[in-house]
Parts: sequence; structure tokens; C-alpha cells
Amino acid sequence: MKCDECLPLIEEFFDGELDEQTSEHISTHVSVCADCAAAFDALGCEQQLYTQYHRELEVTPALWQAIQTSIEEGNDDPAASSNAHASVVPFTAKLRERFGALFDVLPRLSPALATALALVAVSLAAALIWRHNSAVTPTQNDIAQQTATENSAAPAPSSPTTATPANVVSPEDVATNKAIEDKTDFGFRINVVKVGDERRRSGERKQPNPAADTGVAHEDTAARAAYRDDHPAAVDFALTSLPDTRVRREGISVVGGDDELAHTRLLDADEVEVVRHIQKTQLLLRSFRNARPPEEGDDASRSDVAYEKRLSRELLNENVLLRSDGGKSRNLPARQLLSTIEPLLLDIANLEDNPSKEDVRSIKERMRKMEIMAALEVYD
Amino acid sequence: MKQLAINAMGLETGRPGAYTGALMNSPEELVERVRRGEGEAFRLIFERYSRPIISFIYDMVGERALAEDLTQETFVRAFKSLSTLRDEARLSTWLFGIAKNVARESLRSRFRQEGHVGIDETPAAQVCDRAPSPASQLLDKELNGVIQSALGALDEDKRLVFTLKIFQQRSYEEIAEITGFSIGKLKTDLHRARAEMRRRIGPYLGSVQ
Repeated sequence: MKCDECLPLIEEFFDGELDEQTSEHISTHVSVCADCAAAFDALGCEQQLYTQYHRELEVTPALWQAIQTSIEEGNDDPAASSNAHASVVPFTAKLRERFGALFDVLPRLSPALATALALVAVSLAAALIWRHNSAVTPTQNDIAQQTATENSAAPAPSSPTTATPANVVSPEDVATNKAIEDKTDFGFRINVVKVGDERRRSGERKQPNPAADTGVAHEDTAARAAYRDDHPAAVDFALTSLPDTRVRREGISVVGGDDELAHTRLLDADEVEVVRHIQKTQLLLRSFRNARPPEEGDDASRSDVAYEKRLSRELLNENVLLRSDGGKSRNLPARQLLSTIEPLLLDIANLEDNPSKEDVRSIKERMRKMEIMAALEVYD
Repeated sequence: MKQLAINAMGLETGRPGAYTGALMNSPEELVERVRRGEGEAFRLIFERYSRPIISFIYDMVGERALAEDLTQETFVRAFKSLSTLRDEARLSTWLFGIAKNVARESLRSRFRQEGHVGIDETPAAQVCDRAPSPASQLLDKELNGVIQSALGALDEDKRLVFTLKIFQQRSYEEIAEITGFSIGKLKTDLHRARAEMRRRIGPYLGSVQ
């Protein structure tokens, strides 16, 4: 053995950590090599010096008493009793100690491997979250398909209390609904939809879907009417006590909140159609009122209201049907309004193809006197 | 000195046989007795291992009062987690492992509160925490102060390995088990710690020779 082989092992040799064969080689070399022997002796001198190190520590009976007291009291924080070093053992240290036994049995990982495993775990978690979200969140196509399915196969509720509303109600709405149920005691389930939520949902379903809105409602119209007749006080309560919510129950809705506070009113599915009819009539009358004057070259005494005539005929038929339905449902304001606009629609529909300005003006004058536009605005 | 040790064990209070018992009971037997609920067996464990444990902790933290508190913490933790001891024959190594954890936690807590205090920034007289006593007057105070300040200058891992090897005479395998270090790391740390200590206590080595 040479010195460059012996010296790196001299400390292990001194510590008695080498196997027997290597120890013999080094021992033989040290006995004949002055440099290696000096290194070995230096280690011996150092060790001798360290043995002279005296700490002057005493294990006093008080220390055992303190341990015994801590154990008996179940206090595993003796520093607290001595209060000299109250912060030397933090809570995390206790956790480390308690879980230390668990980690002792696990293989020790290098920092690089541990980092790689952590990255893989984070990636897997992110992928799972993304997959979960994509599975839960419906796409617009899903919504369209779901709406089509609902329209094609509207469920037939077994009773008014179990009928499913056309709108999808979120868990938050259900929670609010519960509170409203407790408050109103309507005797049947009321779904409460925040106005903001309704507006948000309107983004999901831009086009009104009469089938979805009225399919269920038509099936229990009789039940709704009976309920309104039997429980007028409950409906009035809903109208007056729920200003910030839109309450719906298979056809019975209370519209309110924001700018609708001033004219909260009762709507059912039939009345939704009335409202749409009123809106279309409003547009027609507005168009008629603003009908363009005859241009140069035209007959100055004639007006072009062909579009308004055609639309008026369509609305007239609809108006007659809705007015008769309004009578059934005893919705007097709707019936009165429909009765009011019907002569106007009739007059417009019966105008000549190129009516005289006088004919048009007379209808406009009647509209102004009847304040029909204001009445339509209020109802809408 | 022997009388001091006997007094420390409280044998003068009339419990003959305890000292002998502490030396004769095997670790396995003591652990088994503690698990059976014999509080006296844990006292024997304390008497057997308290001195090396408190010395080890003192070498790590450098303060006597703190070393006593941490020794107390070590034995309380040991008592509470004795059920996790898998190999009763390695009771000593297990206790040193707990003491190592307690000491390191204390050092880190102090580091966070005060920041690192290096040996070169602190005179040895301040690092050496000892009160004058008849016994200490017989010892070389200067050498003790130098060794302690040199120990304080080592980084934590090197001090841990050096203390366990040089002062506690633990084998590499035991040190690896106590510290969780690999054999290669502890050999490297021990070699570097020896070199650093040698540089600092060099002037005193001649007097030994």
C-alpha cells in the first residue's frame, strides 16, 4: 500500500471503521511509513485533547422531577414549564417529531428526484382538475342539445307540486328558494331566481323558447288558476314581499327587482305570450306612427304602410285568440288592453294599399288620444 | 465524581439497587417494562442515558440551561413515543435521534430569532457558558473555551457528525441512523470537521504531545 492510498483511509482506520483486511494493510503501511504514522498520531493527539474537554454539566434530580412532572401532566412541552426558552420547540417541530417515525421508514430521495416527483404530482392534479371542469361545465352545444331534448319530450308532472320548471335552477337558487319557502308558506315549491342570474342565463339562451316556457305550464294551467283562486292572499304576499326576486312556479311568476320594482305583477305562461304580443303590437304601432312620408314623385296624398298592414293582420288574429284566453284566466288588465288595441289593429289591417294621409292621420290621432303607446309601455 | 453521579441519580434518597439496576437492565428489558407501565424503568433509562444526551445537546447548542431544557424535552418525547421504537436494542441510537431533532429545532428557532452568530464574531468567553466552580478550576478553561468556540464555528451538519463521533464515540452506522445522513456524507463532513477543528485548536495540540 502506498501513502496516497493510505492517507485517505487513515481517519477511518483510526475510527475503526475499516474491514479487517484493509485495516491490516494500513497498519502494516503505517508501521513503515513515517508520514502516515505522523498523520495517525496526530489523530490520536487530537482525540486525547478532546477527551480533556470538560463541559461541567450535571444531571440534577430537578431535571428528572421536571421530566416526571411533564409526563404526568401530559405536557409534552417542558420548555413551557421552565419558561426560559418557551419558543425553542415550535409546533411544527412537534409535528415533525410525531411524523418522523413514518418518514424514517421511507427511502430517502435526492432533491432532484423529490422535485421531479412533486412536479409530476402537480401536473397530475392540474390534469384531473381540468378534466373534471371540462366534464362538469356544459358547452353551448350541450345546452342546445339539452334544450332540444326538453322541448321534444316535456315531462308530464304528476301533480302541480312536483312539476319541473323549465328553467335550470342552481344550488344557490335552491338555497334561496328554501328561505323563501320558509318565509312565504305558499304550499308549493317556488323556485327563486335572482334577476342577475336570470340575465346571465338569458345569455345562454338568447332566443325565447315558447315550448320550454309554456310546455309545462300549459299542462297544469287549471291547477295554477285554481291555486290563484284559492290562495289570493299568498300570491299578493309574493307580489309585495319579494321585490328583489323573480319567483316562478310552473307558470306563476313574480317579476321584480331593479327597475321592475315599480310594477311588480302576476305573470303566467299565457301572459308571457300576451307580453310578447303586446311588444310586437308596440313595435307595429310605433312603426305606423313613424311611417315615412311620401317622397317626391310619389302621390303626396298617399302613404306607404304595406308592411304595417301585413303585420297588423297577423297580430289581429293573435290578438283575438289571446283576448279569449285572457277571459278564461280572468286577467282583466290584459283583456282590456287587448280589447283596446284590437280596433286599431283592425283599422290598420283594413287600410287600402296606398291609404290616404287623412286615413293614416285619423288612426294616429286615435292612438294619441287613447295614449295607447303609454298603456303598452306600462304593460310590457 | 462518582459521588456526584450517585447524587445526581438521587440514590442518597433511599432507593438502594437503583444504580445497579440502571447498569444491569438491558435496553430491551427496560423498554418492555416501561411499556408495561413501570415508571421506574423509565427512570433507569433516564439515569443511564441522560448524561451522554445532555452532553451531546450541549455540544450542539452551546448553552447549559438550554441543554437542560432540551434534555427534558428529549426524554418527554421519548416517553410519549416509546411505542414507535422498533428495535429496542437500539434504544441509545433512538434517543440520540430524538435529541438530535430537538437540538436542531432549537438551533433553527434561535437562528430565525437572532440570525447566525459565527465563531469569528463572538469571543470564546461569551460562547463558553460556565460558572466558576471548584471542579472547573482544575481544568483548562482556555482549552475548553477554544474547543467549544471551535465547535460553535462548525456548521450544523459537521458539528452533529463530529460530536457524535469524537465525543460520543458512535460508529458510522449509528451516526447515519441518528442523523439520516448517508455514510459518504458523514465521512466527508467528519473529515472536514476534523480539519476545521484541527486548524482552530492547533496551538494546543503541541501541549498534548
